Amino acid sequence: MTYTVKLGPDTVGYNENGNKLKLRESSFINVFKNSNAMIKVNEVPVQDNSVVSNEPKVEVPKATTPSINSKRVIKDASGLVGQLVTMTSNGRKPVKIKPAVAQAVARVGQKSLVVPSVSPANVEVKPVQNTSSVVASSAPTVEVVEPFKNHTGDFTHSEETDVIEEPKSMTSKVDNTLFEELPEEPTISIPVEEIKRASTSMRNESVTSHAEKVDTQVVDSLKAEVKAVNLDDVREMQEKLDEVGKATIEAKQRVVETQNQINDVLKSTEDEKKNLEKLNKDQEAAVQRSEMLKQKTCDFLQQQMEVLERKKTTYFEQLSDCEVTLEQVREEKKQVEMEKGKKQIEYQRAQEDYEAWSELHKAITNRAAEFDSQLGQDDASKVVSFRDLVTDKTPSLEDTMQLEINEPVSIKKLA
Amino acid sequence: MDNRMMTIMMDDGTQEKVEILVCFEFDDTKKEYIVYTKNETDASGNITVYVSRVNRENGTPKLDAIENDEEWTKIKDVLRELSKSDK
Repeated sequence: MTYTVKLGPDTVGYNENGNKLKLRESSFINVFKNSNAMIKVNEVPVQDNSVVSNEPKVEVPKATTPSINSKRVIKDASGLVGQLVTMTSNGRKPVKIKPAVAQAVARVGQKSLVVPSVSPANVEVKPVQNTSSVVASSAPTVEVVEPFKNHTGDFTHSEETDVIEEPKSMTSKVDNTLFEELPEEPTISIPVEEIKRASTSMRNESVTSHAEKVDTQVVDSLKAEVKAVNLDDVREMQEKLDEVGKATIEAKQRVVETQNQINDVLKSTEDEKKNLEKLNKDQEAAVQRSEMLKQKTCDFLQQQMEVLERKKTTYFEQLSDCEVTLEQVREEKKQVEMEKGKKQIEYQRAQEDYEAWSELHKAITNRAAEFDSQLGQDDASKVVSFRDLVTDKTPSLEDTMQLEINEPVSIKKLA
Repeated sequence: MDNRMMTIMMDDGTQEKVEILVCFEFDDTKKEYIVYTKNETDASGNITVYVSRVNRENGTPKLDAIENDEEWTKIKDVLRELSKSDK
């Protein structure tokens, strides 16, 4: 449940019970680091006991001061403290204020709270939901801005906080208050340190003694329970437990065996995978080698084709030359044969001439013989010399005799 | 308040130690302002406080001037409001 309260003079809020609250901003007294950055607000009883409703309500006060259209949030100035900050020329505007005002402004700056604007600037007021905290359950809380949300330690109360912690000092008509509390609501103010101390002392209470107490109680109760237990039931339970134990052990063994089998399968699968990878690599290498061989074979065949092509060309050229040569030989043969015919004819003629000359020779020889016989032996040399005119060789005695005997007619033919 | 001191480096290189009174930011403009004082008092006992705009655009805070009168009016209203709200 969330209360939205617009702060301002005489602002009235309602708690979760619907009770009218009159609060003032300075009544913030405690901030707890575990309270989700909420501020506990003391509730001050209000004279009238009117309960408006159970629903959270807000009365919006009328603005009585100069309106400011934008909400302003007090920022944490700790980031600038101790820093060296540069300033542009004329980077500041001076204003003179009374010392009290300056102190008030400074105090607000140190609180770093959301300072409500007079115009619609809202501050969420929530009831405390964490009852384990020190804040009373009915106490409304006011959300704070970031610096308080990050606050991790106890909050150091400002001066006015202490004042507000004393409800007696507040009246139902307090000037400069933002809220007033209803009278019937009790003031709940529990010092944090006290609570912490109590909590710590509780935690530090003798743990050992407490544990001993608990042990004794547990043992006694167990003893009583043991006495009440039937032994047969215990045995039956023990047997069941044994069976369950055996089944568990068997199941565990089976699990182990299955696990081993799985491991074996995984291992063999792994080995197969490795083998497969190796085979794949070998296959890839073989494919590469095959490709290389194929390429080499193609190159070799190409070279052989070129060589054979060259040889074929050469052979064709040689064949052509041979054909030409054969034709020439044939022509030459014809000519030779023709020459042969001519020679045979010449030979026949020569033979005929020879025969004719042979007859003439005989005739001359005969005539010579006749002359020799007529002229005597002394003239024989003349016959021989005459014979040399007819033949290229010196005639033998036989030839000479034959010349003397044969053919005086042939000489006539020669003549 | 001694632990809320800040050093301002002026344009001429001089440094001033000032006391931070309050920082606030307008929700609509998201402009952040700082109110600080050098604890100077005049004859009437009034304290001079200074207001600058905090520029954190480059990561390092820098104090810039108030840009216009409207802004200055709003800042003065805030100061008045703060002084009242603290009572």
